[in-house]
Amino acid sequence: MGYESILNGTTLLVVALLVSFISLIFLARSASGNQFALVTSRQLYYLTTILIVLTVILLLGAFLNHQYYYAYVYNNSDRGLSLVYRIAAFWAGKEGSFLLWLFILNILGIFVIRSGDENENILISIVMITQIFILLLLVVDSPFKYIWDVYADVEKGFRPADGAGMNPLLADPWMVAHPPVLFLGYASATIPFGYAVAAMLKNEYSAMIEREYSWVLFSMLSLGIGIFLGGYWAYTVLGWGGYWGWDPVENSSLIPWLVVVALMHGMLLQKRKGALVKTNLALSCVYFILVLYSAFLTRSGVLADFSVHSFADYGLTGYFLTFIVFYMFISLFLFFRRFRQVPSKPVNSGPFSWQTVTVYGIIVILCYALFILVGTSMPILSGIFMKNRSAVTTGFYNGISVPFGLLILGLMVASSVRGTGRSLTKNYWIMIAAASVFAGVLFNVFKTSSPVAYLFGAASFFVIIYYMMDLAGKSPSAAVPSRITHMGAAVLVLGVIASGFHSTAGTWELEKGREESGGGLAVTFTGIRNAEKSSLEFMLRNRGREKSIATAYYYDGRTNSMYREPYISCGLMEDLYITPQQYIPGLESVTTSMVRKGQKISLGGLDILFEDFMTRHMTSSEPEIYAVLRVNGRKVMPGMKISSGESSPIKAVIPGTGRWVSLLEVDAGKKIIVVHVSPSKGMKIPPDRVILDVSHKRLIWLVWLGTILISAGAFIALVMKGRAGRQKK
Amino acid sequence: MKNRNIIFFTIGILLLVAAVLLLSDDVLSPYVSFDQARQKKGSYVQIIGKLDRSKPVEYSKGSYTFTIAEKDSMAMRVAHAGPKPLNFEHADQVVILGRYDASLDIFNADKVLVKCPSKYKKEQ
Repeated sequence: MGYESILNGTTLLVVALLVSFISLIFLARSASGNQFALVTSRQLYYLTTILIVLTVILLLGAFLNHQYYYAYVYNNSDRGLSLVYRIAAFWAGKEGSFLLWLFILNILGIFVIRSGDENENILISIVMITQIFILLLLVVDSPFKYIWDVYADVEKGFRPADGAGMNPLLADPWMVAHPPVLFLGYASATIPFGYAVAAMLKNEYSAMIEREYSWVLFSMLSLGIGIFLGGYWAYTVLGWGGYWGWDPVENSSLIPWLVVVALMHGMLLQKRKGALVKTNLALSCVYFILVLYSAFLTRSGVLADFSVHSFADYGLTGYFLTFIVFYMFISLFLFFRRFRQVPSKPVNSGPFSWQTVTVYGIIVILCYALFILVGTSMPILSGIFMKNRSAVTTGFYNGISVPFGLLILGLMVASSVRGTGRSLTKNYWIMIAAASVFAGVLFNVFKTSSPVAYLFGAASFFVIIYYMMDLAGKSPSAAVPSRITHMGAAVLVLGVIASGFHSTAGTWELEKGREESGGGLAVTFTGIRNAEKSSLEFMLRNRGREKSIATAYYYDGRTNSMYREPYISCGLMEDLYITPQQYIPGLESVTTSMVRKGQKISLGGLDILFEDFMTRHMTSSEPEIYAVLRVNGRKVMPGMKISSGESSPIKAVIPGTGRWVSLLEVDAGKKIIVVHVSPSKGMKIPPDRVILDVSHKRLIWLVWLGTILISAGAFIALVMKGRAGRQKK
Repeated sequence: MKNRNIIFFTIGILLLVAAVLLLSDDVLSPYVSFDQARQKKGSYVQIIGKLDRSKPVEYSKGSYTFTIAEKDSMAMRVAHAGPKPLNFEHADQVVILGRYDASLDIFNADKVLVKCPSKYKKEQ
């Protein structure tokens, strides 16, 4: 298929956009109960599905068939990638991830249509409006732009033989799974919003709660798993500071997730007691708007200077703000119009009842989300209100997480104590409390003296021990998902405490062949293995067991970056996490050095004085610059010739030695050069060296276990909900 | 449960968290120029500069030092105790969080963010 083809991806996107508009018109007409309009809108919806699926196939095909004349394909893939990563390259960039979002949203819409919901026309209208917005973004910045349209210096019709390659950071198994799951969460946030709009439009608030609850559970589960997968990925990739770094990209998905967790709890109260109806309407809207805000933060370049992610300003800020303002307007308008008409029972019970405690929990989670939101948006807020643009530090997030974490753990216990309705003796509580304090001390003793670690340790053990006893006893089956999820949260907290407060880290400098040891671990640097992708090799001795390991360490020419990979050895008590920092070849250290003007250095047995620069042919097209050196007292002039932007070194022989000297770099402005001398025969070359970061991350698997329990609990809730729904039918 | 209780509870949380934030240092990292960073010695700031490749990157136990430059001001020597970010060698610009130490004329970084140049390279 040639690039001239009529079946161009951008054309398909434009057609999909037009069909979506027409479908929206029919949806609006169907509002009065016009069945013909509803059926037509459905057919048009399926037509957009076909168009979007075709677009997806076209882009996927472009990746699989190496069509590097598409700038997006060129920039995210190359022939060296395995099949799995060529597919994953689809969502390695902004345009592809929007297309993935659109595709998932459209498929979710089909489920809504097929479910025979009486609010179909409103729900699908909301899906359709969102679809139109994403299509607009895709048309403005299409993944099907040709390379010559993007880069002015590329000749029209040029077909690059190979792509620029995927960022090696992204070529990771987690990268394959993380974005699609996350986008499943993002896309599904549209449906609860649709239900809230439907409820407010129809002024009917209890009929659709069960259906909306299923979508909220689903969205919470998929967004949560997406965030967790991102955490595992960050842990295996360098430079992200472990599994969680409070980076804007991470925060921007955590904030909506906290809101949907609060919403889920609010809906439980609404289902059981008819309370919090208005709160849930508001949270359904807030959840969706925050998802859009999150996409705005991470895709518009507003936080470019504040994140480890390299953002570019794609010129989409205006579009995003328009969408967000649009949805906010709809939400606020409907909410205030219906505010007094929404029937809601007050939470009418004692100060420590299950309902009251759950309401407090919702407030705490929402306040936590609010603080993270303010922190993440600080670069924008401070730009408006303060003199210097400012970000918040990780200290801010870690600081607020202490009171919030303790409150959440405390309320979890309180809610389940009240929720079971069982009366337990005082001694029972004293026993659990004593056991958890003991466990908390045992967990932390000799590892840290931080009171925060002990407090969280005891609180987490209290939750875990109480819930274990409760699950072992007669806990109602409806409570099982909440027990598992809450226990998962406590296990996660223990993992955070252990990996944060008990871990040790240090930098080691190793000479090739010489063993260094510390903390029960001995490491020998055995050399570099040169291949297309070179790696550093080591021999590890850890508690008597020997193991040879290699960590990737290479220059990735296409992405123009150094790629280093950590070595992670997972263990029951701790993970050993070794990061190569720098490899210093011995030869280079005696042959290459930087010299300032007027400075005298000793290099490879030679005394070198850098006296001055000298230039020749400066007005010609091939100027030359020379460094006037005194090598062992004799004048030597290595130089550099510059022709058509490329510089080539001019070697100079050092008289009477048989050796030569050349310039590797010249900075005339700073009066600095980098000289290289050829090694002499029989010269003593120091051993190669390597600098390593070695850290022991304690009990990090508790973090993973916690996330698995949280997901498992939510999954069980979803399955139980599905069964209950089918039984009703 | 009365609305009053909810309001009290919410205000309580906000006050508690505000207190925690007031008691902890360095929750904000204002973006400043090199000169401002030097004036505000000791306070936590954020600076951005070009990595100066003519100056060596030196390693010592637990940290590495490098130099960044900014237009119209003196270059800044930076020490970072921690893992060197990926792509550091090929950074275009580096964002650095930390505080300036006047006695050593060095910026002690606790976080280094790397901005890399655009990926596209013209075909050879």
